[in-house]
Amino acid sequence: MVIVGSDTNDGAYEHTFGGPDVVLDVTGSVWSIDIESSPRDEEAWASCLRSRSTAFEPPAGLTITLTGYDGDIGAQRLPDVIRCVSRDPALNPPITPDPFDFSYPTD
Amino acid sequence: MVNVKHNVEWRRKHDPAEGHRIAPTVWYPTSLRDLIEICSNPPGGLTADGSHYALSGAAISDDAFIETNDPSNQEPAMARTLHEVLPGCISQSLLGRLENEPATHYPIHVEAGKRIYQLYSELDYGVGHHPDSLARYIEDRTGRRDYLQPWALPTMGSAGEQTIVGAFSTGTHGGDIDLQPIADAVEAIHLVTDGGRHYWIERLDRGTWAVPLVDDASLRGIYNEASVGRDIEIIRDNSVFNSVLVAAGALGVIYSVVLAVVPQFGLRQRTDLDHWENVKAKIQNRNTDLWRMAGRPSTHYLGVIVCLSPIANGSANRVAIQRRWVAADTQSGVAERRGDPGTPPAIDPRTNSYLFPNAGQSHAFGLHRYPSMIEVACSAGGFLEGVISGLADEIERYVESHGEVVGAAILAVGAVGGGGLLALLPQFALLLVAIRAFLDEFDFEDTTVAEVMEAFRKVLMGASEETGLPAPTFIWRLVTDLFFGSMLTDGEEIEAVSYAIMDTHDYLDRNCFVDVDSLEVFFNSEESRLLAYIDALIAFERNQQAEGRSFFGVVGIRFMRGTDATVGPQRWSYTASAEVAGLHGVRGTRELMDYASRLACDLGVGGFLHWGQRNETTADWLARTLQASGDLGLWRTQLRRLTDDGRLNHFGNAQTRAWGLEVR
Repeated sequence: MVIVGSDTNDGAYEHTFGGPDVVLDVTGSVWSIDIESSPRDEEAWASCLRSRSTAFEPPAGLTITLTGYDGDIGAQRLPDVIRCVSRDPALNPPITPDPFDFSYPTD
Repeated sequence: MVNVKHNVEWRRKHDPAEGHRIAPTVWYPTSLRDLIEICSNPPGGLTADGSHYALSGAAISDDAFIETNDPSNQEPAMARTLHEVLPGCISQSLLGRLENEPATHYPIHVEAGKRIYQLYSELDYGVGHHPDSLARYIEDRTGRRDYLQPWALPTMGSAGEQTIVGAFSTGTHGGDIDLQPIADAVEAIHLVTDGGRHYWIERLDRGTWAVPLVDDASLRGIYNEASVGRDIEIIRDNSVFNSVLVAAGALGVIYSVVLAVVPQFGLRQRTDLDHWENVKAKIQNRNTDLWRMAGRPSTHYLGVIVCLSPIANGSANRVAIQRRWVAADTQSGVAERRGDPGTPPAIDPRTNSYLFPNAGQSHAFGLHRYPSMIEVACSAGGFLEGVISGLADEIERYVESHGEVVGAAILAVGAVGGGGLLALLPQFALLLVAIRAFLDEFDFEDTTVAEVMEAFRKVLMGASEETGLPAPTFIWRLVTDLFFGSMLTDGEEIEAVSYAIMDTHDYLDRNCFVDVDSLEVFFNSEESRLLAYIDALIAFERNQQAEGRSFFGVVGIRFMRGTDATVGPQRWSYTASAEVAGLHGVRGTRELMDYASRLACDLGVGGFLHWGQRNETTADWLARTLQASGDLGLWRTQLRRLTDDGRLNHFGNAQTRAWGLEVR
């Protein structure tokens, strides 16, 4: 995971299969993130981003998910996944369940 | 001598009455010579305007304004249909194609101030009524009469009051799923820049005919120093053309354009009500029944109108799906939306154009007033009184039957499976008294929708100290759903001539737009960002309803193909737009609009905003958004070319500079 343009978190963060998740709190007006892999630990690290999706779903709200391939280019086994959750409350207000009960009986 | 006024009250159509500014200088040109004279030695900043529909600051000049068609219909306009270039200067290659190929398209040349409703009316009436028209020229040469047929704009936004140039040059959406926006129907642009230089700009080997439209020597023969004050320069370059196509006015003032129009066609439109939760799952899959309705031809237009106020006990949101198909009926709607100009046709001396009695003078076509609640924002009176009265009757039956008689609205906004509403019966009874009093006391005459709804919201929320928030919120959701449903009829179908369906604007509600706020954000329709954007707005609305506020408006989603314009907002092969529009007068609308704008401007969300609507993006945002494509650099290259490396920059204004649409 490579972060560029953040206030304090720029750099490369490694994650190995089976190891703990890497969790970061990244701040900055404009920063970018990429996902890289090093197949068989032999070649140089290279971007392996395969897809990017955006969702607004409970409980996290505004979330961008990056999915990378593992190993050879295009491989889809054990994909690398980075989930970026917006921490800006002005942009991603907390999702609260509808606080009201507007139900009526069956009959 | 150009018509000019000084110290004029100036405001955009949607600005509140007190929101006007004093424009030190307003020019009202009626010819190319006028424009060249104005631009040759401008007194300061210049911005060209047409209908004043813009909500963004792109319309606001630093100093002087150039009005191409005075919105108050008082001053002379620059809105003629021209024949001096086509056929006067037509190239042999274009003439050969027109004369020897089927009449699938026709080049129409109009001045920039031509309003869209005027243009589609003229096209439908017949381009051959003028003896100097290209259609008559071809008939005289070949005997072919098929160019005398009624013609039509291939696509358009949803309103016809804008000038054609104002609409396309700010990035107005299309809506026809396999068509580019109206900007891409433009084949040539006649641009006047700071300093008075003027350019005839065409695509090179592209476009409808992919040949030069004009004979250069002939064009120079009519647009030269002796005739218009300056010799014309001719450019055939796709990069220049695509940069000028959408430029928010920063490159100069467009004098005229050539558009490729198509034979008139009919459209059939069907409306179906559904839930957002069902529809969103189908938006990214064009093989679903959302896109292809069984037993119907290919869907021509798809629109999804989303009501952000929840129903089904907070678990769903109402949507209206509108589909259109090309149809045979090209007569319905002609009388209502255009009318007959008479024999011989009456001429409007202000615009030097045919005078169609109902063009820009009629209600939207259809069995019902058109679906947008914004469209009826001035006609609140009896309509909203009826909605609220019907609502009160339904609540009364529910209360008096102790929850036994559950009306259709309650069924829709609530959900089966519990006793939550029964527990609110005492609160409903209290609110019913307040609603009846409101109906008795409120003066519904001469009020806008926003005024009625805000007064009604205050009645409900004013009682919340006594009733708590749930009962007033439920009733608010009821009235919102009833209003939405009253604008749209499930299963309704109408068929008419193309413009009667595409132009949904109600021209008789002239004052209802002053309180409207709207923005339009474009997305790659093959990605999930559009869905996330709508879901976020729904969540925001649910949160604010829990605090007694509510957005009063809708989100309209449309689908179209990408544009060739370098900085056009339709940036993807398959583009979707989400237009968020609401009435400021209702507390909660401004809050949601502010949120919708913040979200749209977020780089992570990855949308692109319409230049003519609310657009709070920045130069930094634009640079980063267009970084990968290099399009901003391409656009600025053409800006340098046309402004002498930025020296002739009077067409920039505070807004275009803030966006970074300037030489850097």
